[in-house]
Amino acid sequence: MEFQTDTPIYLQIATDIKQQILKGALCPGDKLFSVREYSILYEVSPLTVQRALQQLELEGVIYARKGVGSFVNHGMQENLRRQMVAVQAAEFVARMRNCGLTKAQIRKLVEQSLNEEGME
Amino acid sequence: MLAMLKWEITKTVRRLGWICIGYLLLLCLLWVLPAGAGRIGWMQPLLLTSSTFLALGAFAGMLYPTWNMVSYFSKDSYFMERLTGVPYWKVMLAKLPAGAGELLFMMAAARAGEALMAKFCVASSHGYFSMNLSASDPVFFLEAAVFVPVMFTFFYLLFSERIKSFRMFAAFLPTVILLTGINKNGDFGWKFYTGAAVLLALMLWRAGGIASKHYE
Amino acid sequence: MDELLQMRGVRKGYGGAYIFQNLDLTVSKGRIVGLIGDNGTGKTTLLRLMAGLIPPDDGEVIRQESILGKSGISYLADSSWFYGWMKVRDAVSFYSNFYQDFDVNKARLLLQESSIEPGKKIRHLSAGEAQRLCMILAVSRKAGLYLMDEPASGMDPAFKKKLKHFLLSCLPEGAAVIMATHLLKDLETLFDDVILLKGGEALCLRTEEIREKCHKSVEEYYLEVRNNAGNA
Repeated sequence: MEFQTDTPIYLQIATDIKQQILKGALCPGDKLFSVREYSILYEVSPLTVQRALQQLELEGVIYARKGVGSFVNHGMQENLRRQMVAVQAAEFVARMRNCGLTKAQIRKLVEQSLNEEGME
Repeated sequence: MLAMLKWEITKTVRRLGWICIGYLLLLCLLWVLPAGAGRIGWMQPLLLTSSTFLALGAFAGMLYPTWNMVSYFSKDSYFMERLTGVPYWKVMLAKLPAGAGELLFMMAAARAGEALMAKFCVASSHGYFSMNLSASDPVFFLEAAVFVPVMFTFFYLLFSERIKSFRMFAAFLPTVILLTGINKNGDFGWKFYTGAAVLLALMLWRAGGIASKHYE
Repeated sequence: MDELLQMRGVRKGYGGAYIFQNLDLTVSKGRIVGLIGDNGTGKTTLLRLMAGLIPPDDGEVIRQESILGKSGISYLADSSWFYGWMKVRDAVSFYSNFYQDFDVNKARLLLQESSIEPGKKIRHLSAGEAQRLCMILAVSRKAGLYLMDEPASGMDPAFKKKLKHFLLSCLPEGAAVIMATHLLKDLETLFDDVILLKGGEALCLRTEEIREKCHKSVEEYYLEVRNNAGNA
């Protein structure tokens, strides 16, 4: 996985694991890889992985069982989805703002795109 | 310590292994040749070459223990020797037996060579290789295996503080002077050996002090 | 006690010029540290001082024997250090002979995977193979601290790509690493901390702090620092 090096890497790893949960690659109750396995997978230091897992635990996405490993928490998918969607929306708006669009223009753009999609 | 000893012996064997085998083969050859070979014209160059080889080998063999001690400080082997983190004095102590072993082999081979070459001597021709030492064999062995290496290393390091470029030669001089003094005046009794042991130990210890402080 | 090694007031110079005048540095357990600096800033000297291969002119280098063990620092050797007569297996038995923490089987396995023949003379190996050999020897030791001086230099491009993977999978858990490199772009995701060397001073920083507070990559940050030093 390619990391952006100007934002904390542990957050990017945490986000990646959250996306895996959303996509269904990781299900509630699933056991996550070990710190060492993730460190080799992402090619980052083990401490970075530890920090990422700590962050996920803090957010209630995973829980840790001492001596066994970390597991995906139950019932937080909806929250996660809302969280990820909100982040995406905020990023989109920020990008549109950067292009110089006003609030009205952004709304119009979204409507146009929805109509093209043929969504309800 | 044991590891260092094993390593020093391995080094010596690997460095000189082929030369020693060559030496032994030469001795075998000399043993097999009949005494009459000395009179055959075309054998002369062969015998002379053998003689030279034996002489050079003996000379180099005498200096190897000293060279081995001092090689610790050469740029090529610098890191290899220090990578292990073994303290200087242990390294030096481990080098002595390795050098002594080599010297033993060399002296035995040289004496054998001497005896073998003697049979080729004809009354009219010159003598071939023979080894005449300034002292008896055991004493010579002690000097070349222990005295000279330690003394030379000591002077080498002593001078490295001041004259960096010529210390090889500079260390050679006082060593030879000391050695000559020992051979002339040493009574080789127990008092002598005790005194010598103390002096050498002091030299080794002091050399170690200099080495750890100044050496790059 | 989290400190493996401490350098206090270290001074070191060559031929009249001082590289470090008064260096203070601490190395902590389990962190992977990048040692960054231009050529000539003293990366190699610093690593050698840490390993005890060269003595400081002044000051002290304190190693926590209790955590590190007797010779618990694994220094990545340079292939040129090995004697001319040494074969690959001689180097393996050298390490096995001197280091109790050396895992011979691990080394042999890694050598096999790298297609390096034990019977080959070290000076007959290609530059990439020789560098890999030294790397394998270093990581087959179970040390508390690994010191590497530009490990990627001299390596085949193919192995360079796999270097991070190799290190992360071969180094024991909780190992501390100090790696001097100029390949910040490729390796910065590996580092927990960086030590930036400029003008005889060492600047120690956490990589995540740089990213979080300055919104820059470590590489960008270093270039800024380096150029400021030039203008000052």
